[in-house]
Amino acid sequence: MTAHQDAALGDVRVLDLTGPMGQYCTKLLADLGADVIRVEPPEGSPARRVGPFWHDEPDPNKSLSFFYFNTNKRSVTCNLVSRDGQALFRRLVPTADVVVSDLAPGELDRLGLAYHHLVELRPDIIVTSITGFGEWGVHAGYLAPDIVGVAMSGVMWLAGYPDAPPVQPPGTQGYVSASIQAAQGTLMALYHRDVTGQGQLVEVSMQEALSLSQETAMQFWDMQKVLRKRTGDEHRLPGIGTYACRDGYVFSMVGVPGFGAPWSVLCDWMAEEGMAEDLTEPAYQELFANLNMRELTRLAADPAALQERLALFRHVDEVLERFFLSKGKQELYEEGQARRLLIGPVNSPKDLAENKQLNARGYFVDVPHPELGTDVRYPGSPYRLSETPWRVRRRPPLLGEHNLEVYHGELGIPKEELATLAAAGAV
Amino acid sequence: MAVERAPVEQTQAEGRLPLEGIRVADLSWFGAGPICGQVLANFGAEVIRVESESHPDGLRSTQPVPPGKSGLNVSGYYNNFNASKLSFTLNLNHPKARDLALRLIAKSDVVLENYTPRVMEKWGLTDEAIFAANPRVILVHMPMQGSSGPHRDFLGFGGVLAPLSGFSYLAGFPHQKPVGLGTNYPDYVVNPGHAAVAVLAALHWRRRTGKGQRIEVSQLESTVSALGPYLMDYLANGRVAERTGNRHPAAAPHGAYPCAGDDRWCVIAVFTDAQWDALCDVMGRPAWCQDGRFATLLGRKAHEDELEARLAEWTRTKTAEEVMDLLQ
Repeated sequence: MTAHQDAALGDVRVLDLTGPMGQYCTKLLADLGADVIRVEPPEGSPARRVGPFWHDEPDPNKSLSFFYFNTNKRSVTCNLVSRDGQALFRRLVPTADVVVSDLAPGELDRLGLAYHHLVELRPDIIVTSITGFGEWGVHAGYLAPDIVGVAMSGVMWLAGYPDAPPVQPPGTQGYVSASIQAAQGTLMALYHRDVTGQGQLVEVSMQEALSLSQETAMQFWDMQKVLRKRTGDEHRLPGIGTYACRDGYVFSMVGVPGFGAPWSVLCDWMAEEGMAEDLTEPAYQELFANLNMRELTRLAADPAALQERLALFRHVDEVLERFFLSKGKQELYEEGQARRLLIGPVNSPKDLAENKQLNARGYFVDVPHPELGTDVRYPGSPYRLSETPWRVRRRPPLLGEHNLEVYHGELGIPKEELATLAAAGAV
Repeated sequence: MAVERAPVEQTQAEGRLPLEGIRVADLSWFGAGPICGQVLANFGAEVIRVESESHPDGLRSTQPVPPGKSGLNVSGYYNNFNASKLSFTLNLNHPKARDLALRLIAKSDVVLENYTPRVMEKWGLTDEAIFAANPRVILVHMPMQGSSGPHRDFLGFGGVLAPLSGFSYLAGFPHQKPVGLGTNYPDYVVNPGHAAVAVLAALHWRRRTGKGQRIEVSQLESTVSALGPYLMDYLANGRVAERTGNRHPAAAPHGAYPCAGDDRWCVIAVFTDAQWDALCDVMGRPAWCQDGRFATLLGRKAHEDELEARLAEWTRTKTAEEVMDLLQ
């Protein structure tokens, strides 16, 4: 086992029956050192058809989405719909610690591969099932592409503008959240097995997995019967919100007590640049000095004073808009942070690829892809473990790349038998 | 279709929680750190919040609170993310506090904190001091930007993280300002979830090797990791993905459509010919459905604005629940 000592999950084997919904779960496990064997239908997992593609060339071995979500995994083909394929899969099960599936509820049972079947083959097996709404219940049979998951979870309700449709989070966040929670559940079950020797079924519903991401919406309803709504481009106070700048947008959160430097610091910066206009006058300086909870509470109870203040607020915001428009987002970010002002750039993927901090820490990694004749640059790990460091041990697998290695080399199935299974469409 | 629960799928575990016997010293505050702690607590770990009375967790004084209640123990925001934990107060700015903190750490399996790096150093709770107190501990840092690099001391929290990480740029409709997701989205599952995964993997490894380790979750790196394919598209193809609202490159229609009632919506996603035909059937095969332009995915993508307007005319006549039940 010494070869595996520097990998946190180096002693764990996972059979991976996931598509787009669950593949980030098995990526997390594989990147932590688990031997993850992707078991794909002979035509390839649907995840291989998800774009974008390398150089926009649609090909099951060139999906960049598949690349990202399948580092460190191996791939075998196995047609689970055929009886020979099912028998082959059952031969793999005793070698595995974990099976992860995102097949629809009841599907594993129909294939004879549900937890209660697999436990006969390996009594301490852990089976993790990721579905839209859980394995059972009134919505279990509903189809659940990502947008349905984020809609039904309440997350979408909170995103966007009040006068426009709710907004789907980018990057299939329903799948990502379900996968993260599934990795948590799988590792809890693994730890439980370490202690007790018992395996178990881990069930993850995408809808439930996203529940925490409603922030306080449920509690506002429970406690106050207040329905949180989409707030869009709301600017409750000057300095708080999304502003256009010279090359895009920044998010600014200046003037919230306890969060970074106060408004006076921002005003000083604007004055240094000759852009504070009349904000250096006593009326505005007094306004900045009183941007605290006590004053805001007082204004809420005094409509006349509030109206007067709102006019001043609007003017401050207009001067601030002119200041932000004169500068680029990274400049506002770095110079703002130097003054402890909470101003964040609205970063694009390009901005992130060029981000100084990510690059200084070596976040991106180059992974050799001999078939493409080049390295491909990948985003790195969400965490860094000092003794069991993250690394890409192998690039994402080509379809069925490890059929011979696993079926013949590890299970000892004769090559002639594999040829028969291939001809029958079982592998 | 409702599915009855099959009793045979019940766990073998007989009520034991998986993390029983694990103690967590939770020095974190606000969102991502305490939520990681709560995940561990809800699954059996003894999680002890260490809080300062002079600087209590800001979520304790954040809305919502029940009508007529006030104080530091009634916030729905705080309580929803700190169930199952114990709490004790400790002013880490006091000279004697460090020793107490290290005594707790010596009896803990996991230490969790999410301050900017200089804060733990200021308190004398350096990695060296913590591992000297407990060599087997799993020490989890969750700084905003990591403990090294030119931006390590930058201020930040969930509200700035969404724009910084790319979420805001990519979310929403192309003609609108990128205002993000209406919440501190990365705080709730992405960052605490990643941290919990790392802790659990480290616990498994410790059981095998007897060794603790140091885990660092840069919240920026963790959040960017949830948007991997967009980064790959830029790094490999030079393409900067833009906001596309609720659309999907391989489905049409794919979006949220207005329904009967005030601010009610239903999402509809059509990926296949069969799903398109079924949608047309449910709508009663109106004439526009038979329009050849909508027969193929490429045709529907080419005329997506018109398709969505037509579909919305139908969804407006139904409640969101009716649309869901009819189509599912």
